[in-house]
Amino acid sequence: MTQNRKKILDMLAKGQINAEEAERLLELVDTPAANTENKKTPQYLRVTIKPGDGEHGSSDVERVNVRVPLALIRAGVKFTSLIPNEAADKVDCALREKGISYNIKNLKDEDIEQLIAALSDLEVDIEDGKARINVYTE
Amino acid sequence: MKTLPNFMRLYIGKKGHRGIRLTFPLVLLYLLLLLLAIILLPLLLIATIVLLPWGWGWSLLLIYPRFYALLCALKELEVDIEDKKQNFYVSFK
Repeated sequence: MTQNRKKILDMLAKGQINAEEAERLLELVDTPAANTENKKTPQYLRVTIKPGDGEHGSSDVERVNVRVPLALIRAGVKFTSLIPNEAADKVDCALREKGISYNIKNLKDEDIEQLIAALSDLEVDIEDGKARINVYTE
Repeated sequence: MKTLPNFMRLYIGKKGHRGIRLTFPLVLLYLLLLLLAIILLPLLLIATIVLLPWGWGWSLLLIYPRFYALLCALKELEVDIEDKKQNFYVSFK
């Protein structure tokens, strides 16, 4: 049994999710795209902006080439542990007012790892004639 | 193992001009930061004790390791921006 399946079943046993949600999550885990454990973890987030190839491709467009180590995201997220409980409660209240039910103190290392692993599939490619924007991980 | 970046390379310049090109050995910055960290340590310990009732105390002690992790994570960061007038490049190696 994979770790993800075990986690889902544990959540079901604890009553954190209902049977329907568990079934849906198990289906997602079973799909090949969801099995990110065997994939190579991405190391960098790349953002590039280049002038477009089309006739409207402009030399006025900025060329941008940014490589952000994903370790920087990990390190940044870990700074949330420095937020005092009172301030975290205020943040949670503000988020709840906006309709987002999320406790920032609940963000764990394994969640960050899953998020980063999921980023390996990220690829954004936008071209509007003037510029070509690429966002991907490597 | 996480290691700190050794150099920061910086280039700021207008096209057609030489601009500023700098390779900065970060060890100099680390020495300053280490000195600052040692100076601030007693204050941090006092703040930890004072702020303990407000639930912030112990987490203050995590500032140093978290900051070290952040500095380590800067390694391999690269930003290169170029428009028709000027260039900006910074990288941590």
